[in-house]
Amino acid sequence: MSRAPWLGALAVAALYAVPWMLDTVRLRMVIEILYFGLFAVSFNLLFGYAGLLSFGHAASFGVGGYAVGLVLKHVAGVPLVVAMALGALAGALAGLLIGAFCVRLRGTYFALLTLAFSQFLNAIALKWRDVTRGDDGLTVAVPDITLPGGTVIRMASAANFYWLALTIVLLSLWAAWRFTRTPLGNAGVLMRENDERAAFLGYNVFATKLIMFTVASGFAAVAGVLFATFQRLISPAALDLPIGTEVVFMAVLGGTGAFLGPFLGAAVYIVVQDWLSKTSEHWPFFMGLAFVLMILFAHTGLVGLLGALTGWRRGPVPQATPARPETA
Amino acid sequence: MRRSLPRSATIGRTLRGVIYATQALHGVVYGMLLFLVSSGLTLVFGMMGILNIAHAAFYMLGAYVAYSTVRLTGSFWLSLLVAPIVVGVLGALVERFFLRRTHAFGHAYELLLTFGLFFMFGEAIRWVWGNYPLQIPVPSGLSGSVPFMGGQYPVYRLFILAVSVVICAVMGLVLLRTRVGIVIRSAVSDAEMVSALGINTPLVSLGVFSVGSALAALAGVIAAPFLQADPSMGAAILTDAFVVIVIGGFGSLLGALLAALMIGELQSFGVLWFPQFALVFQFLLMAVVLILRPQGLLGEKG
Repeated sequence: MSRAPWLGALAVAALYAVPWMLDTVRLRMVIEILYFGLFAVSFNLLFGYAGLLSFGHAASFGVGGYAVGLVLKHVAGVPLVVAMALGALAGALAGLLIGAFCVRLRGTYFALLTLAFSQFLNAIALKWRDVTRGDDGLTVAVPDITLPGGTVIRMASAANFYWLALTIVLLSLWAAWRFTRTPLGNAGVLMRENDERAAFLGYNVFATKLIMFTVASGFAAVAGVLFATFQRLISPAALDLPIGTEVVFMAVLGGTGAFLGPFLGAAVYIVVQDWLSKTSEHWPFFMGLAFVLMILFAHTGLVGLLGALTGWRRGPVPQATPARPETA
Repeated sequence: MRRSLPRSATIGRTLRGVIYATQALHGVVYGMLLFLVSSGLTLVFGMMGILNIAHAAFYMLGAYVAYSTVRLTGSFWLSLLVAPIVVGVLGALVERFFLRRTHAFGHAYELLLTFGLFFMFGEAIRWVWGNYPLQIPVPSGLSGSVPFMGGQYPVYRLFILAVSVVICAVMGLVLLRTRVGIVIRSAVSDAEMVSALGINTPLVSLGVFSVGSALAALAGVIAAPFLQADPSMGAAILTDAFVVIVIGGFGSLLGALLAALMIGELQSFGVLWFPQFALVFQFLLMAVVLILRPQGLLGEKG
């Protein structure tokens, strides 16, 4: 990135020009790619970097979505961006609470406990009808943005929403990427490689993992906030297993060994799913098949595949998770 | 509960007693069914360290193979034999050609692989058999009800109970009284050591995986006339089975039995007393066990 800053600038400019190149249907798909991409990257902060496989990553995604929906509903005249920030904060807070219980465990135990929490939240969203409207879902009324000069940006326009979402996602990705380069982010990788040794070296394993979990939850909540405001609806499905597993698919498909691998995975997943679902009503079968083949023959994902084909790699995460005996 | 039943008089009290007893029996029946599914899951985890998510697909496949067998031959009893064999072979193939190849990438990828297989098998079932529940008639000898505590109880549920108790007993005998059982139990507690003693542990793993799959299929067959063959039955039992093996302790068969009965009763009475929150309770229970005692009630690793 640092080698060719003008290339990055050009790419960003091109991204901002997308609404002029695509029709609304395609643009909506790109918006979906944006927030699912961020969601997958946030999942990978846990899985690829810290070695924590979460089956309940949908928990913070859903909490973010519900939080922004509730704030917009109950706080009159709250600016959209403030509501969004509160949503992200709520997701991070949920991550902090859930993580405090989960990060003491490893491997399958960790995966199952995160799953239990997301199912627990899903059940609350389903049953606490007074607040969440249960199965029907909560309608999210998205207010327009008024700039200090008095200019009003209408959110009903897909292009305007795209620019807002793109800005938020780019800033989040940049922040997440910076985070992985800090000593704390590196300590996260150490947790994946060998947390016992890390403990002997004087690292606070619990605190490091908890911070990783909270940060990843916060970014997942940002994705959830965008999901809720874009769909204008948040329902218990956002907290349920299918979303929690879709994100695992995306991350593994793209490659967990590179920072942007999961983002690529999300893009490919959404485009292929769109195409497959028009071609065959049994598209989940082919998705499952692709996933299984990917794990068998290319478990480093599309990024790993590209790297192997071109001999080019620049992933910041060395990908060699040793098989260790699993204990709680 | 209290509101829906007559408050006073002995009739009320006995009626309540009958309902409690019936509900308790329902709980035992579902608990034993859950045990059949969970036993394979927990043994495989104990031996290979893999939480086999595809296990739920094997259960579902059992029900659907039974449906087709009944359609083709008209015999439910034949399906009790056919489904476990078909699924057992499938399980062996999965272990040999999929799981073993993934082993080198670590547990996370093994878990992800079984997850992908679950997804794939689930959709394949929808493809072949359709995305709607299929009714399998209760075999003629087992329809009807018998008197139970002054009320009535369906014979078929008692049949489920009988089959699972017999299988549980056979499994116990094999594991505790035979050479194969000793090998399996040792492999569960220390696979490396058993391998060092000259025992072909990959073969034992293959066998346990295959038999576990067959048991899941058998559970699917006997569940089918009672719960219908449904494309969502796998996901439904999967979360229950997770809760069971977490509470019982990964790798512990006796723990799975106790936990399965607990969950059976919890669901049975949960539906009666707190219909809104039956599902929440069991996840809460799982979370509490994982937090306070990650090795479960009877698990050894900790």
